Amino acid sequence: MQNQPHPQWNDSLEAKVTQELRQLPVLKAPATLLARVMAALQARQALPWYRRPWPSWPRKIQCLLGPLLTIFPLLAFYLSRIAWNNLATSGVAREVDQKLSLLSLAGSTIDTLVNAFWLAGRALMGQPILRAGIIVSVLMYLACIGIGTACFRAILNPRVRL
Amino acid sequence: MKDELEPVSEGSAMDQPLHFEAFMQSYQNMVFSTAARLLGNPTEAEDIAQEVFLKAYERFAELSQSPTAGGWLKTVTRNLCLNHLSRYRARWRFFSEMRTDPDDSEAYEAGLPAPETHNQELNTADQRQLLEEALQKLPASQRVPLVLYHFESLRYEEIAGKLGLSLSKVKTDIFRGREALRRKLKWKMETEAALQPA
Repeated sequence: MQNQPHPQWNDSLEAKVTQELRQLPVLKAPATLLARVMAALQARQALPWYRRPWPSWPRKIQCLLGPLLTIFPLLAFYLSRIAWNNLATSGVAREVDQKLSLLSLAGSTIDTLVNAFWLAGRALMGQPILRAGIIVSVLMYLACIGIGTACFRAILNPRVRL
Repeated sequence: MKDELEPVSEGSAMDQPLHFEAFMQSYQNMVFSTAARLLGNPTEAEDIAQEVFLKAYERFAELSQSPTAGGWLKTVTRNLCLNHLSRYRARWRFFSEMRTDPDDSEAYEAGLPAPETHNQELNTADQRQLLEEALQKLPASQRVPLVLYHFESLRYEEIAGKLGLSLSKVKTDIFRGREALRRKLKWKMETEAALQPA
């Protein structure tokens, strides 16, 4: 096949194609295009300003929000520091600590349950059939993840796949 | 219709002599042509053209004054078309177009459009129409790089970068696209007798 065309043939063909294609007139856009765009713009105009794209927001709001969005994180950080300092020195911190002790009780219960499951698992793993079954299950699970990843990459690959 | 539209924002170019509708009429054929040749489908091309002009409207204040508005529109059209091809066509192909690789030479030969028999009798307009149709019927893998090279004047390296393909693949696809057009339209090459490709 022509995987390696003769350079002179290739140049000649390129020149011919360039000449012919450059002579093609632009295609006429459908008459509906203008109407469609204008209708879409009117529909967009009917939306409230906050649902439109940022560039079309009223200039005053853009000017107001710009500095506000810059100041807000700094202000939030500053206020949270003040609040934390106040809480640490007040009785609120002790109350929070007491409530957290309830959470630690729940934590120890979960820990006991996990240990129980761990011991049961170790006992079951001693049996070869169960061990093989678990290994097969894990391998199948990994295969599913692999196939899923391959499909995802094949379908949603950012490259232009023609 | 345009008078019913509100300005994009304060000081928008909608107040200026060049209105968006006139702007669009100036460029719509160019935008549509670019999209139709890249996508090979007029319906999808119209959708892309609409999207391009909606984007243009957001920046109309700048574009209406810019001498490079045409270039901006062309670039946006090209990028949207390539995005469209990568997002939707690939997804569709994955499920419905499990076919042999067009790199296979026999499949490639079989896929070539049939040569026209009475090409010489056709007038110029008919020949252009035929060429346009032949271009649209090329497989996307050949048409897209061919259009990017001949209409968008991109270099092979740029096309390879944009399409995420190797340089040699791009060159081969473009060559095959040209060959398909030559066969379809039975172009007589000056060097044909001496240099028929093997």
